[in-house]
Amino acid sequence: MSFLYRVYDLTFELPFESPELGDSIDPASAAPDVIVTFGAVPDTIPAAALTGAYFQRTAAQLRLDIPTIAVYHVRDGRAITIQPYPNAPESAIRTCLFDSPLSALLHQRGTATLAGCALRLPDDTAALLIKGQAMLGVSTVAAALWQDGFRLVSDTFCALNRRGKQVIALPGLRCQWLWRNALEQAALDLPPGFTWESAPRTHPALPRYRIDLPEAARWTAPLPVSRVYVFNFGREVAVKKVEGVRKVELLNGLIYRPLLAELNALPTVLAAAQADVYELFYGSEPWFARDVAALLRAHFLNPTLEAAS
Amino acid sequence: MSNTIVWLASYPKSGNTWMRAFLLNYLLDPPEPHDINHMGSLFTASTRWAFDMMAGFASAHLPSAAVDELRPTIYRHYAAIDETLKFLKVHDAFRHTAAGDPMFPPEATRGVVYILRNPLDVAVSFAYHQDASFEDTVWQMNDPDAELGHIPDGIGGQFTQPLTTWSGHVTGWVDQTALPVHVVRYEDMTADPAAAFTAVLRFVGMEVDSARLEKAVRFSSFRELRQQEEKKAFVERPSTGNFFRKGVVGSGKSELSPELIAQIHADHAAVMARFGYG
Repeated sequence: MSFLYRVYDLTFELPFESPELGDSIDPASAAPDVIVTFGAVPDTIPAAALTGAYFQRTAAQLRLDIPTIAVYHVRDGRAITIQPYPNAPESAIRTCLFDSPLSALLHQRGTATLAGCALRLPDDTAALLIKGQAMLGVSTVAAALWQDGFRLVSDTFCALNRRGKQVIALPGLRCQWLWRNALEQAALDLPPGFTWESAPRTHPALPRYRIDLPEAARWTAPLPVSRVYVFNFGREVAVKKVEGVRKVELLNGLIYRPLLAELNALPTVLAAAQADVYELFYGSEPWFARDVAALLRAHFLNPTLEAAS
Repeated sequence: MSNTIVWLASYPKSGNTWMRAFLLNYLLDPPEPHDINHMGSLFTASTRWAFDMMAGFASAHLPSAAVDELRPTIYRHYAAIDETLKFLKVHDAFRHTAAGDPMFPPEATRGVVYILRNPLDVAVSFAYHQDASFEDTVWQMNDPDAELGHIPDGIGGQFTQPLTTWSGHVTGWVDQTALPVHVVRYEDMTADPAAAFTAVLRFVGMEVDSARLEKAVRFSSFRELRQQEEKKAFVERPSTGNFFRKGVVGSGKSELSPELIAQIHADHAAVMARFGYG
């Protein structure tokens, strides 16, 4: 039994249902670009170009061991084999699959990924919210924004591809993974019938919940990238435009899981050239996701706004 | 040889960041004081992004107990990347994982620089840092189950770090016999930074260049660190106030009540006497 899904502009054949990807599509409607299976994964990858504590890779292959969950073998941008650990939770096997292994697969196909999320702006372009020094909270900010009417293109990472002369952000998972305290602090509206006890989690032992995006909050078509916001620390709350070659340096320094694949920096270089790039500085005072979302919302409407507090 | 890690171990608010700032200014020998917000090459051992980068997957997908078991493997791998010395800040108590693996593997370790500060002053600084009362902080410093970085129902940039008591933290690191250890007191760093830092450099087997040392001491002075924080903030700042607050010796005696001073002496008498905090 297999299931077909459309995500990141690719058709995936999976050996299990994946609510993270929304509704499956008719198996007869498309040939898969990527096939995911369960099976035995080799202990080593011959002639590995890079070996980490838990991974080995060549240009075309990645073997990633996530202890207690599964070993993932990603090949040629076309196939992923999963060898689960005994008693590994199914939700955790899927969550892990849709993170590093999927990012590596996209890199193998020449797609670049950046840590963060993408949102649709009213002019049918994408704004990327990227984790810089401020590593946390980007997903919660994105959740506050989609609750306020924006649409989420992707979370965890942004996938960037070239389409003609443009760089586009590809639509990702149809859900977000959010911690309970983030959901509570951001005062996010929870789905009808949601209870902490029964809601799906990324791992049964973690208070981290899968929030399936309502239809009105998700965007499932590629969008040209027009804005990039890199979340950093600073003395004052501010949004400052980045100019020149620093745009490229900034984005290339934030490529997601850069050790897991040969990187194609061209999409990020082109994105830096195509988009307005801003650093969003958190100030010294504590911030909550809704404050940052309000600042961003104002800046989406008026990009000449350099600072707000 | 892969014993390239030097653990900069301390109880919180004992001078660890000052030590890191000095080492970076000495190692990199920059023409201007090194940016306090770019101390990434001397990151904290419990830093989540560093683990995720080296592991290749998000630690957030695993329960913290499972991540704890993987940390020693990451450190062994990091130590073996090349022959250069690697300084890692650590506030964790000296310990083993639940499965019995040394959290700080001897085969990855060059040595431990243990930074120690009068617990009276630690109490004041730690209380301001975590926006807690002096009373609660003094109690915390005698709690064998005390932790740092634990966020209920959430996730932080640091893994949860067991601290144990202040005395237990000191003796755990100083009296362990698996790793070579050099003890440096905050008060000695303050009184004669050049001498204190020279001893650290010699302990880890580095040449001491006096001109470079003098400049590194100047570039990492409390005044310089405080100025940088005032100007551009500090990524490791607490949620309230500054990270670099006063940095003085003796604030405990002037700010704590006589009862709390007596309590700290009662809780930590043996270790305080051993290290000259009578």
